Amino acid sequence: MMSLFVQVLISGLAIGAIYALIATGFSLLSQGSQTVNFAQGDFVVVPAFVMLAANSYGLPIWASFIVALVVAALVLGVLFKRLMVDPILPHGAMQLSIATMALSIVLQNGMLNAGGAQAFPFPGINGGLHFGNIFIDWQSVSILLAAVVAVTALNLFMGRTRIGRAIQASAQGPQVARLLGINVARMVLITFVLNAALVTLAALLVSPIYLVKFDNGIGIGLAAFSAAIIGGFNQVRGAVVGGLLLGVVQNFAATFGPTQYRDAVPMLLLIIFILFRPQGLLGRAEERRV
Amino acid sequence: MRISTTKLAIGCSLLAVLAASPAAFAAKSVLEIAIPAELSGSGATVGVLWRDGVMMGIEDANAKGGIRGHKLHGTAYDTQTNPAVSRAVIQKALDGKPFAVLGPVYSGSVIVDEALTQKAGITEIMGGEAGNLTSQGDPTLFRTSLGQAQTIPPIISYLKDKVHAKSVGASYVNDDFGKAGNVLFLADAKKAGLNVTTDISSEAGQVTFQPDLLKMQAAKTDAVFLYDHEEEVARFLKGFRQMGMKAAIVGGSTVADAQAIKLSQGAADGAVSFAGIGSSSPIPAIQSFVKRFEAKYKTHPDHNAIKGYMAVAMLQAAADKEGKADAKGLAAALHGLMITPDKYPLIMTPMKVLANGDIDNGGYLIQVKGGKAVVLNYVGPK
Repeated sequence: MMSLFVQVLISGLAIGAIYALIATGFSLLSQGSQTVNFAQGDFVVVPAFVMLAANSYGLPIWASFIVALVVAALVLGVLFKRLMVDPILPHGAMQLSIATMALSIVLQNGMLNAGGAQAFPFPGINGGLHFGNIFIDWQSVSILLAAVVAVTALNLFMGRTRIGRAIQASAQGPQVARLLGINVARMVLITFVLNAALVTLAALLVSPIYLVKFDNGIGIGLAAFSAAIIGGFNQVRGAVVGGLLLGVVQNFAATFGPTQYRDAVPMLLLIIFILFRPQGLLGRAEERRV
Repeated sequence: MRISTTKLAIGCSLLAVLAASPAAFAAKSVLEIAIPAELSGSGATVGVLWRDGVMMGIEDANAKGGIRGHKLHGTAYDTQTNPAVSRAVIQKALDGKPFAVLGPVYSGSVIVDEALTQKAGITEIMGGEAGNLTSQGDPTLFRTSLGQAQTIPPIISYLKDKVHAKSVGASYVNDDFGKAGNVLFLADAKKAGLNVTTDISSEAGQVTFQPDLLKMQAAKTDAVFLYDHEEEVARFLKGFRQMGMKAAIVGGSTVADAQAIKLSQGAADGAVSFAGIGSSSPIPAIQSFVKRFEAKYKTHPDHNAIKGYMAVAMLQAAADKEGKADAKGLAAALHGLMITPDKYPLIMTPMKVLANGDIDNGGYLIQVKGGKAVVLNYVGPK
C-alpha cells in the first residue's frame, strides 16, 4: 500500500509539474498584459509540432527543441504580442481574452489542416528505477527535474536580476515603472518570450505521454488554467503550487476513487477554491473600487 | 379555358429544355452518399481513415460505372466525435435526401442517430462495433465489421487455453463501445471461470494511465483485457511497458491496430487481439488496397479505412439485388446478402450480411511482433 501511495504521489507530481509550467506562463502573461490567454494550451501544441517537423528532417531531439524554442519565441512571443496583444489591449482586457479564444480556434484548425487529425508519436525516455516495490520511470523523473530547474531559474531571474525586477515592477505598476526609467514595453515583450520558452519546455516534456495531436491543447489548457486559479493567478509561486496540487489530486482521485469520476474531482476542487478562496492558495486578494 | 397551340408549344419546349439541361440530368444520374465521420476531436484518428476509405471506394466504384450506371458523390460531415453533433449532422445529411449514409464510426454516435436514418428509411452502414447496436431492431442499420458478440469469445478462449490465465484486469473506455465490450467480456469471463480482479474505466481522450496501471500492478493479474480506442491504447501500452509490467495483453481490434502500433512505439509488441479484416490480413486484395491507400493518402490505413471502402461494395451489391438504385429498397436487399469479391471487387473478401444487420466476413487472432501485426489464427465466415 505504501509503495502504491509513493508511486501515485510521484506520477501525480510529474503531471502536476507540467501543469505548473503552463500555469506559470498563464500567470506571467496575466501580469504582463492583464489578461487571460485562453490559447495557452494550444501554445503548447505548436512547438510540439515544430519539434516533430524538425525531427522528421533528421535533427536530433535536442536540436529540434532549440529550433522550436526560436520559432515559439518569435511566433508565440513577439508576433503574438505585436499583432494581437498590442492592437487589442487598448480596447480592454476582456476583448483581448475573447480574442485569445478565437486564436485558440485558429491555431487548432491550422494544426488540423497542416498536420492532419491523427496523433503522432513523440520520442521519450524509456525505463526507470526499482526501489523495492516502488518503480519510478525516467520520464516522470525527467519531467520533475526539468520543471524544478525551469521554475527555480525563472524565480531567480525574476528576483535576482535587474531585468527580472524591472519585469515585476512593470507588472505591478506600469506608470511608476515608466517614471523610474524602465522600458515597460520591452519588459512586457520579455514576459511573452519567457512564456513561449515555458510552453516549449512543457511541449518537450508532455508530448511523449500525451502524443502530439492538434486538439491536445484543450485539456492541457483547462488543467493549467485550473491550476493557476487554485494556486493564485497573480502569483508565479501560486501557479507552481496549484499545478502540483492539481496533478496529485487528479492521480489520487483516479487511483483510490471511483474511476468514472476521475475528471470530476479536480473540477470539484476548482469550484471549492472559487467559492471559498477565490484568490487561490498563494494569490493576493484584489479589490476593485467602483 | 383554351390554351393556344403556340403557347402550348412554347411550354412544352421549355419543359423539354429543362428536362434535358445538364443540371437536371446530373441530379438524376448522381447518387449522394452522406459520410458522417469523426473528423475532429478524440475520434479523428479513426474517422479520417473511415472517410478516406469511403472516398476511395466511391472513386473506384465510379471508375467501373458507379452503381447501376449512376455515379456516386460523397459528402463528408464532421461529427466532432460528439454524439449530439453527430445527430445534428445526420439530420442535415438526411435533408439532402442521400442514397445512403456511410458512417459514423463511434458506437456512441451511432446509437443516438440510428433512429433518424431508420425513420427516413435510409440505409446506414457504419463502423461501430458495440454489441448493442444491432440489437435495437433497426432494419436500416448495418455493420462493416464483426460485432463484439463475435470478437470477445475468441479472446476469452485465447486467455484460457493459450495464456492459461487465472486472473485478469479489465480496462475499458467509458463510452458505448467500451462499456458494451466490457459487459460482454465480464459475462464471458465469468462463464469461463476467469477471475476479473480489477475493472477500470477510463475516459475517451485520457492522456495518462498511470493510476490505472498502478491499480493493475497492485492486483498482480496474469493478463490485462484492454478495450479502448487507438490513441488511448497506445498511451496505456507505453505506460504499461514503462512500468515494466509483464502481464499478457489482450483486447479488441484496436489493440493490434496499425495506428495503435505506430503510436505506441514498440510498446504494443506481444499484445494479442481478435479482429475482423484489417490491414494486416493476408488477403492479396487487401494488401493491394493498403498499398494504393498509402500512395494516395500518405498514411497507413487501419481497419476503419478498409471498413469504409467495403461499405461502398455493400451498396453496389444491394442495388444489384434490388434491380435498381432505389434508396428505399436498399436495406431490405442487404439483409441476408452474400457478397463475393469475384462480382464485387471492393468487398475484397467474402461477406455475409446477417438478418440483424451484423456481418460475417471472418476474423483473425493477431499478435503484434516487432511492430507488425502477425496472424496467429484465421476463423472464416460461418
